[in-house]
Amino acid sequence: MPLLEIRGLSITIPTPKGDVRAVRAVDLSVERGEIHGVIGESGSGKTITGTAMLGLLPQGTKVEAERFHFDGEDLRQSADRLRGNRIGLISQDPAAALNPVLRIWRQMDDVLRLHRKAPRAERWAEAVALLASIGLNDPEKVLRSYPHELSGGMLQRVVIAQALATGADFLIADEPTTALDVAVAMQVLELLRQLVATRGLTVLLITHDMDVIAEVCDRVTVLYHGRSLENGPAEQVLQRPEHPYTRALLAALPDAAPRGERLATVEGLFIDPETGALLQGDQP
Amino acid sequence: MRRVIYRLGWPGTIALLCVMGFICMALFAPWLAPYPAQGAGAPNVVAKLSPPSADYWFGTDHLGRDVLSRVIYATRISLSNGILIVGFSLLIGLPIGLAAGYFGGWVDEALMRVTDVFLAFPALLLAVLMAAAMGPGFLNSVIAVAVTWWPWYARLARAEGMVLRGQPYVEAARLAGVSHPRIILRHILPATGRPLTVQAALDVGPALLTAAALSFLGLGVLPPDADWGQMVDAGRKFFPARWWYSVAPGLTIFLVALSFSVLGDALRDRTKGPSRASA
Amino acid sequence: MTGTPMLEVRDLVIRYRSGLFAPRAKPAVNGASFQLMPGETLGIVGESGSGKTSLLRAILRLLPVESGSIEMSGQDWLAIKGRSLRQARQAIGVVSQNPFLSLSPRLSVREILAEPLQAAGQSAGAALNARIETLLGDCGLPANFRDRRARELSGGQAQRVAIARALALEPQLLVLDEPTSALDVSVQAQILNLLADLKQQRGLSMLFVTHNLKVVAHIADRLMVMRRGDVVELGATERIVAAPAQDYTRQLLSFGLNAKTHWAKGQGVQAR
Repeated sequence: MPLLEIRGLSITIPTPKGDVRAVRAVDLSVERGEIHGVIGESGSGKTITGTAMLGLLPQGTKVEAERFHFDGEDLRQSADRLRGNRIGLISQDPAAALNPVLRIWRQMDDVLRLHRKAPRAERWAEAVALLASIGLNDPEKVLRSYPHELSGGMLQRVVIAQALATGADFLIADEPTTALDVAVAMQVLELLRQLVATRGLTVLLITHDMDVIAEVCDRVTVLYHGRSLENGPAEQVLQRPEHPYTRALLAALPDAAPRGERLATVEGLFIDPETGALLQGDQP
Repeated sequence: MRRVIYRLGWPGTIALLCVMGFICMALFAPWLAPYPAQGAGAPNVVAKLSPPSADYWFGTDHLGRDVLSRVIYATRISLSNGILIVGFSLLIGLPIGLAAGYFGGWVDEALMRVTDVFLAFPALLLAVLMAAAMGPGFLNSVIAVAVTWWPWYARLARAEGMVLRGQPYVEAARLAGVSHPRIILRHILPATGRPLTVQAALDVGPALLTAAALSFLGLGVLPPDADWGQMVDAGRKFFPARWWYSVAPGLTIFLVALSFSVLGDALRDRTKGPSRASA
Repeated sequence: MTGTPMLEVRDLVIRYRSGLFAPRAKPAVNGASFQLMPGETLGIVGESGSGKTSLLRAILRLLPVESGSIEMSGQDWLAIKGRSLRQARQAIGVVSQNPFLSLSPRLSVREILAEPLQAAGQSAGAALNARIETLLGDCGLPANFRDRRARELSGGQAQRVAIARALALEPQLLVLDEPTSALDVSVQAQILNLLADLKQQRGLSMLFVTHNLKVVAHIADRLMVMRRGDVVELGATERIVAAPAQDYTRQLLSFGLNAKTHWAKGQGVQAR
C-alpha cells in the first residue's frame, strides 16, 4: 500500500467572486522511501494539493476525493493531528519559516519539548546530534545563532532538522531550493536524498523546475490546470514523456534547443478545463 | 449595500451611516431643526432653561433656545471644522512629505527638520497659542489646529514616498526619462491616496475634538454662532442642575468622533483585503 | 566585430558606503571590464552576491561608481549629468524581473507605453496611438490590449508589455535584468523567442543579466560569469558551455536535466 494515496482529488475554494476550482482531478500515489516529484507551472494546483495534505486550506474550502489517505488514514479528518507529527513542511523561504528574533535553539527546543519529555541537557544533546547529522559543521554555534547570522543553505537545513525533530517520516518540500544558489541547492537536494536513504524518509517534492526533478526524484507526477496528466519513474517521464504537455514543457527548456534556434512553446496546446481532454488550436 | 457591509463589516457600515447622517444634518439643518430661527441664534427668553419636554426634546439654553436645534445647527460648524482642519493639513503636509520622501538626501533633511520643530510642541498648547495670537473666530481656529496637524501627514507621506521611490515601476519611469514632477503627480501621488484617505478619515474625529476644545476655551467661533465645544462651555455654568445644556452637545461630540474613528478602522482593514490563495 | 563598441566598461569598481568607523567593505564589483559590440548580446551570469545587479545599476547610472570608466558609443557615460542624463538614458531600454512590479498598477497598457514617448516630447494623438499599436504588435500582443491594466494580464503578456515599453524610444541597447526568472518555463520560452526575434530584426545590443546560465546561454553571443564581485570567466558562449575554464562555471552547467547525459546516451534529453 502506498504511504500517500490520492485519487480524484478536487478542491474548491470560496472567494468573494465565486468559487474557484483550484484542483480538478489529481491522482497521486507516493511509495514509502521515495522522493516523489510534483511538477507544474503556476496555476497547476501543486501547492494547493500540498497545503490540503497539511490541512491548512482556508475555512470553507471543499476537499473532495475518492481517496485522500496517508498511511491508511483519511487526511480530511486527521491532517491536523498528522501535521507536525508525521508530516513536515519545508517551504521555499527558510528565512520566513523561522522567527527572526529567537535563537535557533529556542525554535528547535519548541519542537523537541513538545515531542519528548526529556530534561534540557538531553534535548540540547539531541538538537546537536540532529544538526550534525544533517551536515551542519558547528551545531552548537548554529544553535546559539539568530536566523540572520546563517546563510540560506544553513537555514534550509535548520528547517529540515526541525521537521525531523517532530519525528516526521513524510516531508512536503514546496520549492525547497528555488531561493538558493545552484551549489547550495545541490547540497540541500543531496541531503534530502541522504535522509531518504538513512532514515527511511519519504519526500514529496513540489517544484516548477525540471532540473530539480532530474536531480533527485525517483518518480514524478505532472500537474497542469489542476489535473495530473501523467506519472511514472522520473527517467521515463523526462525522457519518454507520454503526454503532449509534458513533451512541450521539456522542449521549452532553454537548453533543449541549440543556441539561436527557436524554443518550442506550449502555445496552441491547452486542456479543456471541464473534461480534461487535450485540445489543439487557440485558447478560447 | 451588501457589498458595503461585506467590505466594511457591520461596525464600519453603522459608522458610515452615522457619518452620512451627520453630514445630512449639517446640510439640511434648516429643515431638520424643530426651531430653525432659534438654531440660528434667535433668543426665546420666555422658555429659558426649561428641561427636556415634548416641545423641546433636549431642553432649552439660558436664552431659551431649543438645544436640539442648536446642536443640529452646530453640526455645520463642527463638521466643517474637522474636515477643513484635515484638508488644510493635507494641503501643507502632503507636498512637503512627498518631496522629502521622494527626493531624499538634503531635501529630506531640511523639510523634516522643519516638520520636527512643529512636532516638538505639545499639539494642543501650540493650537491654543496660535488661536490666542490670531484671536477667536471660525477660520482662525481651523488654521490654529491645522498648524499642529500637518506634520503628521508630512511624516506619513514621506514614508509612502520613500517606499514608492524604490518601486520598480517608478524606477522604470525614471529610466524612461520622465521628469520628477510628472513622476510625483502620476505615480507617487495616486498611490498615496489610499493610506492617506484612511488616516484623514480617522483624523476628522480628533480634529473636530481639538477644535471643540478651542471653542470650549473661548478661542473658537463667536456667538451667536455655536459649535458643540462652545455649547458645552456655555452649559458648564449651569451644570449639573441644568445638565441637558452640556450633555446634549457633549454626547454628540462623542458620537461623531467615535463614528469617524470606527469608519477609519474599517477602511484600514479593508485595505488589507482577504488573502489570496495561490496555486 | 570591429568599430566602436556600443558599451565599454573598464576596471569598474563599485563599493557600497559602510558606516563611519566600520572597516571598508569589500567592493560589490571588483574591477569589471568588458565590451559590448553593436548587435551583440552579452550574458552576465551570477548568483546572489555576485555583483551583477550592482554592475547593471551602475551602467544605468542608478548607483555611483568608485573608479573605472564606462563609455557609451565612445562617449564618457559617467560624465553626463542632470537633464542631459535623462535624455541620454532614453537610448537604453530596460526590462526588469517582475513585470507586475515594473508596470504601474494604476495605468492602462496604453498609458504605460505612452509615458516614455511623451517624456521624449511626442504629443498625444493619432500618431502616438498608432505607435503604441505597432509596439504591441512587435511584441506579439493584439492592439486591443491597450485598454487593459497590468493585473488583467498574464505574466508573459505583462512582460511583453514591459519589453514594448523598453523598445518605445528605439533604443540601441536593451538591458534585461532577469527578464524570465519570474515566469513559467513555457512562457520563458516565448519571451526568449521574442527577444531573439527582436535582436535579429532590429540589430539590438543586449545586456542580459541572470542567475540562470542555461537561460542566457541560449540567447547570448558571449558570456561573462561573475562571482563575489569578480569576473571569473568571459568569452564566447560556445567556448564556455563546451569547455568551462572554471570549476564554478562547470558547477552551474552540471545541474539538472540536460546535464544528465548518463540517461540518454551522448545527447541531452530531447522531447520529440
